Amino acid sequence: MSRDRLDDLGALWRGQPTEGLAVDATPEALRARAEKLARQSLRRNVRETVAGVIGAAATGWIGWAMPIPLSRAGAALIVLATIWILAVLWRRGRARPAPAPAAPTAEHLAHLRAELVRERDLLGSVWLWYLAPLVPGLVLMPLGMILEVAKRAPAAWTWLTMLTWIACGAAAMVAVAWMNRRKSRQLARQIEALDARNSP
Amino acid sequence: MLAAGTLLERLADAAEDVDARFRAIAAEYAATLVRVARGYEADEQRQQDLVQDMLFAIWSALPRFEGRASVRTWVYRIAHNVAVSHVLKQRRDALSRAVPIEDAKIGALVRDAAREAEGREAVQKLAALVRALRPADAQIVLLYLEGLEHDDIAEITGLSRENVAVKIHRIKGALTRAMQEGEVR
Repeated sequence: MSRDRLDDLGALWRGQPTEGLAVDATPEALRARAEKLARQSLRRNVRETVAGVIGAAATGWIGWAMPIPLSRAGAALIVLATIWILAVLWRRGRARPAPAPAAPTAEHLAHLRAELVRERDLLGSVWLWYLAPLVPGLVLMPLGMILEVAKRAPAAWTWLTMLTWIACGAAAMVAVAWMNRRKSRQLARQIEALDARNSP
Repeated sequence: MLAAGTLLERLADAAEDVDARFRAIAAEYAATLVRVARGYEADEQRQQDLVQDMLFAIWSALPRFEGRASVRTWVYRIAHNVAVSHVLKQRRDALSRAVPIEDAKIGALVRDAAREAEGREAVQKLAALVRALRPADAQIVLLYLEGLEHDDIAEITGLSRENVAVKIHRIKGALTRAMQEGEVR
């Protein structure tokens, strides 16, 4: 009985009108799209690499131009941290290759889950691979400058400047870590929802 | 060794061959792709984009299609893979609200389907129900509605035939329960 009713539903589903959607599916249009996607991908990769190199080079140049050894050391540490961050992004931040388009859907679901896990872990550990490596440089660079100015300024000014710098830096880092942690938790919930499909 | 002219001619012939095969597949399965898109995406503009993405994936994969599976199974696999990726990337928020097949209100749909005058509305409700399911369950329901046999569904999904049979059994179980509870008359 239920079989007949399900078959009715299937017939109804297959018999629905489908003329409404207008899609440009000529091979020429698809070829143009493939070329556009390849160009976009190339541009994105170039843009990210150039941004990283410019950021590291600018910090290095500022550090090199500084007469204060402590600040110069801080700038060098920021450059090293930036290189480290770019390396982590290159290794862990890139999407893994998807299975073949006609692979069984279970493989695609496994791949999509693995991507969610990768993203969750990366965002959840931002404090470790992104923020922590920047801390030594971000402390030393301004510290050198503050101490240099402090030689000619009152002690209260030195303490106030240092505390302000520490408070602003810490607040910015906590905000970045919190936002990424929040996103990481959202991803964790999506992974749980995806896993639930296999529950009995 | 092939002469350059011959190689270029062969490549051009191969490209033309792919284009011709693609046109034939697109014409044959256009309605199927639209139905699959409706089963995963509610917004009409996005349905259109989804069908476009499916066709793009089919066209991209066609040169590597060796004919080991039937064209039908191959097309369904690609269409569902594109749609599932779409759901997980574009509608991530919906994923956490997705329900298992046992919780779906199939009974009310069958009752609506029985009224011929409301057929169109019943299809829309059915599509809405499928979209509320977890992606893996939605796929099985859609393939079942398309009239595919257990073996084909197993081949497309990558699940075992037994697993597919269990899932379909659950769909029927949900329907039977709904009927017993008086939801379907």
